[in-house]
Amino acid sequence: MNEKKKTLFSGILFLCIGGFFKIYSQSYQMGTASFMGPGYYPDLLSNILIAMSLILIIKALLWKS
Amino acid sequence: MEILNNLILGFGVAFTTTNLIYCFLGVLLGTLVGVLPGIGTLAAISILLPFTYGVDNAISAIIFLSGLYYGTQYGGSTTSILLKLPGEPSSVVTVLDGYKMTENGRSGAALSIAAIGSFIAGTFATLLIALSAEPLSKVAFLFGPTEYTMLMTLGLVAAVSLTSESFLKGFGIVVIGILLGIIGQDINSGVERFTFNIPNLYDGISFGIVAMGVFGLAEIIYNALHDKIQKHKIPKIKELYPSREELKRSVGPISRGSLLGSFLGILPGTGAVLSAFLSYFVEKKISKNPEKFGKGAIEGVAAPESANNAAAQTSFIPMLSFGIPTTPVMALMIAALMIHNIQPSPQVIGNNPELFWGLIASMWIGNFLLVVLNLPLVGIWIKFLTIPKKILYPSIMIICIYGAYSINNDWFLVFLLIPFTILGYIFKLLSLEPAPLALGFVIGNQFEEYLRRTLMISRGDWGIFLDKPISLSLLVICILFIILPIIYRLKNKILANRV
Repeated sequence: MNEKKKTLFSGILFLCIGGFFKIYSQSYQMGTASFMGPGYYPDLLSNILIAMSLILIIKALLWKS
Repeated sequence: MEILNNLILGFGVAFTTTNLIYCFLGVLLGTLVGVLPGIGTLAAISILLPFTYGVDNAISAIIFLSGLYYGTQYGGSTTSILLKLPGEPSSVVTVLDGYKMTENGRSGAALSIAAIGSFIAGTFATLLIALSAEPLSKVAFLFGPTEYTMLMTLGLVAAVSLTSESFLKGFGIVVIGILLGIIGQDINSGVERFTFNIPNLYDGISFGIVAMGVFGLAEIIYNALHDKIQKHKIPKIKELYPSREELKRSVGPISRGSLLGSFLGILPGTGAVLSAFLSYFVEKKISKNPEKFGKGAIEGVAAPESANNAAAQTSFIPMLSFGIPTTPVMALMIAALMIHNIQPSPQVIGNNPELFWGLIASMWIGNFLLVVLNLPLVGIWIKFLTIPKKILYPSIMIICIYGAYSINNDWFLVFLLIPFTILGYIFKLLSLEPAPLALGFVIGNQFEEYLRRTLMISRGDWGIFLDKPISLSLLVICILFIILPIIYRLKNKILANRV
């Protein structure tokens, strides 16, 4: 597997994991930043992971050999 | 002399029969695993972590694990010198001159200098830890939840930025680690998160299982499938002791290596690897005959071996005083302490002096044992390299399964190994460095707690991180760690395009 493919699949892996936790955390109370519910923190982290996965995927798609 | 009293207390703890045995076992097993091909430090400690859960007290457990840690480092340098096989990244640079010395018939001298250098560096680092404990625990009290949240962020960002090739990938793995760590009951609301209503998951996933699967089994299976079987020619060791001249030449490199390693070990990331490389190049730079390096210069063995050992020891400082793991191995140590209900924090030194000083004393004893016991046994260690892999790998897998079962005498945990082994294997296939997962997993829940408290104090205002001077400076350093490598890479790209 070359670097481009590895980056692409890493991004997809992160997206799947992030997406799973994002969807699952919607079933918990979110609360607000000052009074976080059980869903707040996992939701925040999933957003970070999804953002990173998207950058990785875009990076892979724009890859010049 | 409070330090003297503390050290006496520490040696009192470490010199009890039980703890001496655990220290000895740790060092012995560590050397053995360090010599074995295809099993790195992280994999070795992961595989043996569950066996410390049953140990009666936290002190013995941590003494065993730390013995294991520097034992593996020691074993790694033995194979670098004799067989050109660095067991650990931190002994890669030792190969350059160490293996050349073996070819020149000076393997015994190289091994001895590596051991003596490690011992001196270890002693120096131990003293440094002892001296820094008091002032550091005072600094730590300046840290409220806001500063702690930022310090943890910095610890994670710096560790990833210094060790991973790609920040995005490394940090993504950290986040996955944190998410896996969330599984289980939320301490604030009592809600079971991400448990699929499986009762065995209510207490969260045991870190031992995650580590064993991702770092241990995945690595072994990958090596079993992808390794070519090599036959090693085992060199004969003629003389074990260095000549007077070789000793004299090593004094400088050992002292400089100790200093450099001790300093770099405190910083996040893999201080041991970085300091080994740096100290080698420092010696080469200041040497009167730099052309001798790479051809079997004893300085090229003495310096990196001292530096990596010093760094391995001082990396305990941030772990013990702030509870922040700067390397994945330290994350495993924290996990082991947490199993025994000790949350590493600034309070540990004060509330649990036996643990802190006992560990420090045991480090010194462990290093001593490595020199006096292991050096004469080198011939036996090398024999372990001839164990065929078709016997070695299955035995390790059986140990893993037994270890997983023994955590709770529960078969569920054995099956839980499967998804984590698969995850670790996918990481391997994608060349993703799995180590940051440990940092995230161990630190994640504490991070949530501090973040929650911070935002409760500020009534939901994220600006609080900018308002407090300590937190603001930590944030600035954090951002530098992220953008400096990017700027550096861009600069190189532009330069390359011009040429």
